[in-house]
Order: sequence, then C-alpha cells, then structure tokens
Amino acid sequence: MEFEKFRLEEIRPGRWIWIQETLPVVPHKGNVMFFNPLLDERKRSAGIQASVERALLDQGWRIIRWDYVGTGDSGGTGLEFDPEESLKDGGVLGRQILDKNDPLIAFGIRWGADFALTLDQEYGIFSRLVLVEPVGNGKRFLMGQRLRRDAFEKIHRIPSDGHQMNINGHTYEDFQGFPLSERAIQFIESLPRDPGSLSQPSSLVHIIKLTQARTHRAVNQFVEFAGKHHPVLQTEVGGEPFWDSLTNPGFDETQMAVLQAVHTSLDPKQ
Amino acid sequence: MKEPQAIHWPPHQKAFVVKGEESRIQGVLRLPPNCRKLVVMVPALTGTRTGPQRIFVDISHHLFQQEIGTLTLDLPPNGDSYDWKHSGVRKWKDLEELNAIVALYLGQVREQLDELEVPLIWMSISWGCIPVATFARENGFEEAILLSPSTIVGKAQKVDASSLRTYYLKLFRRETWGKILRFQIRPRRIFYTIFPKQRPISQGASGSPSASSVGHLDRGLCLYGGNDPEKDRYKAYWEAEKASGRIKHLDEAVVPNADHSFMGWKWKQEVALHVGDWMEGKEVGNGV
Repeated sequence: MEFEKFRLEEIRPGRWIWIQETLPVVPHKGNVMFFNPLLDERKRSAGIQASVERALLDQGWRIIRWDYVGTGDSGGTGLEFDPEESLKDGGVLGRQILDKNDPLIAFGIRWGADFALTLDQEYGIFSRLVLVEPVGNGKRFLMGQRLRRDAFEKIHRIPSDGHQMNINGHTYEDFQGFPLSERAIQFIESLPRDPGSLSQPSSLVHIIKLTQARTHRAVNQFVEFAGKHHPVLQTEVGGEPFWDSLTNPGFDETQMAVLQAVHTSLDPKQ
Repeated sequence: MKEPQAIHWPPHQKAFVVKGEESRIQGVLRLPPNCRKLVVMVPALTGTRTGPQRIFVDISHHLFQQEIGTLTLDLPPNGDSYDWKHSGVRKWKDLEELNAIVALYLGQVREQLDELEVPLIWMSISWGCIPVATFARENGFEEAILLSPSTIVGKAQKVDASSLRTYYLKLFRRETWGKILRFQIRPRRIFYTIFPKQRPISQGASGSPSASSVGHLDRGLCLYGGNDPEKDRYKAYWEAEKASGRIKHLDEAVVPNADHSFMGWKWKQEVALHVGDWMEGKEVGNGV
C-alpha cells in the first residue's frame, strides 16, 4: 500500500496544485485537510504544520496538505495567486476527499483559518474546523502587513519607490516579495464574509488561542462572527506567536501546546 | 525586465524523499525535458524548501525554461524533514559541527541524485552558504551559487548589535509607545533577541577563510543585496576564499537596494535572471 501520495494535480482546468496526501498505517479515523497562512507566515508555520501532520497520522488520520496556486510548491508564479479561485480549488479538492472517505475536518492556521471557514460556508464540506489564531479581519491583517513592511524598510534604510507595480496591465502591491493583485487584496479585505443563511448543517468550529499572541481582539471578532452560524468551542493554550518569528525562545513549548490542543479536539472521546 | 512566465510542469515535478535510518529529508524535484543540469537549493538554517519569499521557486521557474532542473530541499528539522536522533541544522556548537551535519544530509541527497546522471550545482542562501560551499568543494563538485552568503561572526557575541539598534529606533515610533501603554510588548522576546541564547562560534579570526583545505570549486557566484549592511564583510570572506585557491573563479554581483533576503518581487526576479545568466556562462558582475 502506498502511504504517501505527493503530486501536482490539475484540480480544475489550468489550476495545478501541489498536494501532499499521507495515509496512516493504523486504522483510519477520517481526513484532515490543512489550510496554509499567507505571505511570510506560511513559511514560519511550516514546522508546526509538519508536526501536527505527523502527530495526527500516528493517531490514524489521513492528511491532505496543499498549496494555493501561486504559493508554495503549487504551479503559477506569485502573480497568479488568486484567493477567489483558490476557494473553488479548495471546494473541488474537499469534495474529492469526501467522495472517498469521511468525516472531513479542516485544520487552518492564521489566514488559513479564516479561509477554511469561508470555504465551509460556501461548500458545507467539513464536519469540524480546528482553527489556530484566525486573523479575524482581513483589512486589519493587511494593514498589519503594511506596517511591518514599512517598519522593516525604515529600520534597514531601504529606499522605497512605492509598492505598487504594474505588470502586463495589472496592478499589484508588493508585500516584501509577495505580490498581491487588486483582486486578491479585495478578497482578503472582504473577510469575514457574511454567508447569509446556510443551507448545510453547521459544523463545529474549535478555535485555539495562544495566551501570549496579543491577538485577543481579532480572535474575539472571529469568534463573534463564526458564532452566528456555527457552534463555537474555544481553547486557550500557553504559547507565543510562532508565525511572527522562528527564533522565539518558546517555540518548542508553543508547538507542544498546539499539538496537544489539536489532539484533544480530534479525540473521538471529546 | 523580462516578466516571469507561468510554467506548469507535470509530469516534471515530483516529491523527492530520502528515508534514512535516523532521518527523513524531503524536497521537490523539478525536471524539465532534456534536463542539462540540476541545481540543488539548500535553505538557510531556519528556512524551508521554497526559500525566503518563495525565491527558490521563482528561480526554479526561470531555470526550467533553460532546461535546467532544480531540487528544493527542507533540511532537518525544518519543513517536512526531520531527524529522530539529532537536532539537525538548528542546534550546533561550532562551524565544524555545522559543516558535518549539513554534509551528512547532503551526502544522502547526492547519493539518490546520482541515478539522474546530470551535473549537480549546489546553491544556498545566507547561513547555509558556508556549509554548502564546503560540502561541494570537499566532494569534488565544480560550481556553487551563494545568495547573500553570510559568514560566521568572529567571536561569540554577548549583544546582538543589529537587534539593539532596531529596538532603539523603534523607541522613536508612535506605535511602539501605543504598544507599551497597552502592555502589548513582549519583554522576554526582546531580551532574547538582543541577548541571543545560541551564538555561532567562529572557526577563527573574524572573516577568515575556513580551516579545511580539501578540494576546490572551479566557479562560484555570490549575489549580494545592495542594502545588506554586512555585505562588505561577506565579500571580504569570499574573496579570501578565492585568494586561498578554494574557489578558482568567483563572480560577484549586487542587486541594488535589496536587503539581505531579497524581500521584494523585483529583486527576486533580478536574482533569478542573474542565476540563469551565470548558468549559461554569461558575465554577471556589475562592479561589486
């Protein structure tokens, strides 16, 4: 039996996504689909994602990790990242997984958490969402990224000629090497989206917060929003914002706390 | 500037996995039809296989058009790679130990790549450059590409001067005082950034070439960020490597205004173009 199915797959015409599907050797409990953070936070979350993947595999979960087009190992240049299209890709991939096995659980970190909830509200494919530190408000998230970029340029005395780029007739804003089109910015700023009335039964949303992340306002906003349509469970664990820096002294402890919280969330006895 | 082309590579992109007794190394292999050469891209010591700001993938896109394949790697314990027995590339006590750890992993990678029968060129960025260049040189490879090739500091530092300056400048910003008043600062993190726990230990005097004199590289390419404050120190180190005969021919170029990690879309494209030109034997120096 093949336990690792890593592949570049044309999920929809012209949409090539990198999929890392891993199967457990122990009896199968269900499927967990991962959702990546955006921009530099993706890289900084890679270690924790891999650790969660290994821990869940040991417990019998089938893991599906994937990159949005234009990010990570998926096809497309950075200019091609389009979250609206990625939402459709995620919907197709999620349904493919559902066709084979159930249940399907979403595991999202930061922006990936907000994205997973949006996907669920459009496609109704998850039985549970385990979300670590959602960004809550897309506008505020991008504003934070802009402040971070401007501070970096000032501190390192980097002359800036603006961050807008015109490439092939399209305008992009450069977020320190990650170009976002006007369409992508519009999508990100539109979150959280009110889905109106949901036709599908509401899935449980389990939010994992880190005590030292200083993001309580954003997470509370997310909780309030998600709570309109879903039963919401919250867990607060000790830990630092791992997406902010790879050299936090408390990284290992944070990783363990997140692992434990995810494990508890997916334990069938809960 | 030439715009990047969208490339869709199936069936030319696949996972690359080395399963050792004590470790697992994972990467992504991109092999164009009629692949002439393969560039193995090794991240910095805390980096992952896409490189900072996905720069390794951007470079792969460019090289693919030139019929040059790439392998982008995670080194344990980063990304999808791990080591059951050792701490990997994050924890090491001196340069000798770091070189040995990296050589151990790259040796396993190289063994698996032998079956492809294409010339291998080794590439790294920042802190990965010294161990990767040393591995290439000591194992009979001819070429290496080094992006912002950091050198090890001269002696163990008690204070990280660059971080100290960063926090000093932050004191003059309104947002900082807002954070202080709202108790939103993280004193523990600031302390450990300024007074780092783990400090790299030098192989000798500041900026001096490495002690090992085994082998040499025929060609090396160093690319620097124009705004990297440590650029001149790095440059002195690599030129000393050349003077000592460890690198026979060294090409150097600067990406104007770029920082150490080339954190800008245009800068990443410039790096990719320089690498592509250098691979074709074109001159890339721009008066470093």
